[in-house]
Amino acid sequence: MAWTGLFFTRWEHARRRENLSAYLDNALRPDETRRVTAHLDRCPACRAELEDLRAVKAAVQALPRPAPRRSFTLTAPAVAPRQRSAAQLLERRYVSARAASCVLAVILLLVLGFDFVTTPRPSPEPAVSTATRSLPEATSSLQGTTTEGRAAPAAVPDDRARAAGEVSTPPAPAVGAIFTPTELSRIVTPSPAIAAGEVPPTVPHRAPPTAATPLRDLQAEATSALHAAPLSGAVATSVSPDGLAAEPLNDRTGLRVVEAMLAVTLAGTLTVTILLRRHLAQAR
Amino acid sequence: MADQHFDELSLVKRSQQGDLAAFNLLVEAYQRQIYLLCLRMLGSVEAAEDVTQDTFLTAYQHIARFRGEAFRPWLFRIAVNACTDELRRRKRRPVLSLDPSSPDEEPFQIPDPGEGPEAHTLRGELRRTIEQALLRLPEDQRLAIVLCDVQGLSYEQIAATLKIALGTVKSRINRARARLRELLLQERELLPEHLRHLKVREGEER
Repeated sequence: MAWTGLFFTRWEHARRRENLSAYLDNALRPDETRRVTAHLDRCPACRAELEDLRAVKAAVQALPRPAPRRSFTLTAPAVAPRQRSAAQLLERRYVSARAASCVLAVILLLVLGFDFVTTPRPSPEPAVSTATRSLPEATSSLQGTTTEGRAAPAAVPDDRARAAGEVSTPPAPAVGAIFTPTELSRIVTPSPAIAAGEVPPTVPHRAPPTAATPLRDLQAEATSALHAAPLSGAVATSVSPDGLAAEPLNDRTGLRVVEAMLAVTLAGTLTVTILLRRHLAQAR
Repeated sequence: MADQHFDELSLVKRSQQGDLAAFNLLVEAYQRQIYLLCLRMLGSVEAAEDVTQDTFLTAYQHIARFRGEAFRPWLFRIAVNACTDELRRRKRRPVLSLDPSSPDEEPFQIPDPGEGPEAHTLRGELRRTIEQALLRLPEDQRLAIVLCDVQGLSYEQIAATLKIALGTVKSRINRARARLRELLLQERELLPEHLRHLKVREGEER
């Protein structure tokens, strides 16, 4: 009896002791509170511990509660991460536009290089020199048009024609010296292939520049420039009608169309890049 | 109280529509509590200020996601998470002193006119002892005891704020007080009269 009583007391003591903190905080259910109160009457150790816990609680509660030295209200600039993220978005767009321009430029150069390498030449030396000379010219003239492009829409067709002309034809004085009339006609063929429907269907033929979206606009202009190129000046007069019958001619025309489209797309991405860069400079 | 609650919800709604002024009213209502929570969790005025500011900034940025429930537990949860992050950062780079009692970090205290300079010093030392003991508690126990004895939350409110079971709150507070008692007994020389009996009773038990 004494043993079981002692055991029960120990067990009860352990149980009630766990609840002393909650008892102190009035966080026990009423029945639990009653049991702890009853136990405290019999157990001096728990009474002592309760007093300790009460002192600890009092000590923590007695800690000073200093007011903050400043206010933490938010100001509009502090909440600005949204604007900052808009700037980041702009920058990301700028970076991707620049990357697209680079990729397009590389592809265009590869295509132009392929074009010049695969074009048959009477003698290889002048062909190489023409290639090296006309490539930078083509790209520089392209850059020239992109910087002007958006600012003066009225001037675009002329520039575009010049750009396309320079991409597809070497400089006029060199023409007579380097190319035979047949070759020249391959390069600057008037558009039988285009008329025959070899152009990809996405390219609108002679669409009015004002009606289309900017990109299509530019493509349409490029196509018309391609049409117009052989007709202009000394180049047109030196075209031989015999060249029209040659078989690889259509092939070359397709290549020219691809080049022109690449050039125009590059011009578009470059324009976007420049505009974004200006925008970005203003945002900062 | 009900009016205040309603007012708070309308402020929250306006904040959700991007009304910074409305949100700042909420900041003014809660900044003292949040700062005190951070101060007791982190032990330094500078860190508490930074984390308090972060808490309100985070709250503003996420206020659109606040739904239904009471605002204070939501805000407290953000503060608790911010404190946990800060403590984790400190563990990774333990360059910062964990000792909160460097003199320049002490909040300014108005001396009690009834006490001499000596009594004030003792009180300051005792305060630092308690603060340090608090900072030596495991993080979850410290949080429970701060919410209970500093913020004055009920066990139910603590459970709701931390999203833990009521039994967990009970045992954490119980263990926290037991540990604090041990830590304070180690500093018995500094204990004032209302705590000194701890020492006496400890002697009796042995």
